Amino acid sequence: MAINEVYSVPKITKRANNFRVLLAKGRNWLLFFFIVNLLFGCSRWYFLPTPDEYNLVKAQQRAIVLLRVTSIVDGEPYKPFRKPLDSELNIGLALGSFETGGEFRWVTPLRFLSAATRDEGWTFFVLKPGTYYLAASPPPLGGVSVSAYERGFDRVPRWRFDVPLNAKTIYIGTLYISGKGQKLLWEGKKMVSLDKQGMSVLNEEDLAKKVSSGHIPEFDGLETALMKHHEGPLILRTPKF
Amino acid sequence: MATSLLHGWSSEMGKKMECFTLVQDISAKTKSRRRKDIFLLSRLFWVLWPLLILHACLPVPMSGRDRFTEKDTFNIRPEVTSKSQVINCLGEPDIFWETERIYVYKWDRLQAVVIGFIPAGYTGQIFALPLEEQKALLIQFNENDRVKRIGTATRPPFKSYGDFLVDWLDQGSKTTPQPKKE
Repeated sequence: MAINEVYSVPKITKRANNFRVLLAKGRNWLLFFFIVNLLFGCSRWYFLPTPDEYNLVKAQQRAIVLLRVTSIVDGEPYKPFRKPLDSELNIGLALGSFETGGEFRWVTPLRFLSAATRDEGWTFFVLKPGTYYLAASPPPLGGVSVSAYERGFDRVPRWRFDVPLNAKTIYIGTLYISGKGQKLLWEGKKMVSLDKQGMSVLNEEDLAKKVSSGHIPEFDGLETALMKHHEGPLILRTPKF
Repeated sequence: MATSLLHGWSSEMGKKMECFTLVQDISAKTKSRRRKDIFLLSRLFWVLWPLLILHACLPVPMSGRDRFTEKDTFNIRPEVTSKSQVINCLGEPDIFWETERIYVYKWDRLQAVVIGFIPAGYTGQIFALPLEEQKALLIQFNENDRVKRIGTATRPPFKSYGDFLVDWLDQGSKTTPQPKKE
């Protein structure tokens, strides 16, 4: 019998060793994914304004812009927003500004003041003073690229709003959206088309004041500047900051 | 007898152990060589793979049409043509930069189409990728709503639209003579 055959390490133990090495190498990654998963599961991340943003708002170089979206799908109430970073999206929002030449950029992930306000359809943006355009669209279908989805916002009604100088918090209105949905496999519906004629902006100033004073009491004096339906050439203004 | 047997056995075992360590050394060397080879091959793969894709790409230059030609803007003259005449001639602009009184007419001009083949899947994939440049006709008006400056510009691909507009404005302020202060 050859010496190699006698003293060579059996294949099974070799495989076991390889597996052990792999496990040892991948252990850190496994731990990382486990912690990330745990954080996303238990976290209460709403993407609140950061300390830097708070300072900029205090210095009146940025403003917290409050928006509410209420939606109805096939005659039934439809929650417009879900958890941030959720794989399923209910409604997509896009903003156009001077920097983008009025072209829409999909706002993702959206930011919320709390889980309760998110469920009621409240979201917010931290923006420089200037002119902005907002558009809402059903969530992207699978396989659609981001650029193709963003081009789709040009085909839906656009809403113009201004962020004035020296404003800290602004309420730009409640966007009412109705549309048609498609049943999901387990539960609920997903909006697939939008009723362009049925879109409107409502004034819920009192509710907005409650939300603002409840979650960002540092910035009192909420201003209301309702967004307006815009058609024709895009009007841009030079941003001040 | 027993001692000689034991001696014989131990010497044989010693030889075997030597052989074993020799085999181990050889296997370690071959392993390190293999690792080096795999490392080199992987490097080579990352170099060759894009080359393989690029090799199957064919850029076809195209002369895309412009939305406005010199003929369209021939009648628009600085200090003469008014805002309403511009709208009559070219239509409503895509963007009105209110602060600087600038009309922007945008369009995408096709430069080339890259036809390529990716050796993937059972049949491979053929694709056609259009390469476009963003162009704009920019018209600036003075306080009296007369044309102050007119020009066509191409937006660099990695510049924001805002910066592109500001750059065009800055270029104009550098080139156009400023009125003398008395």
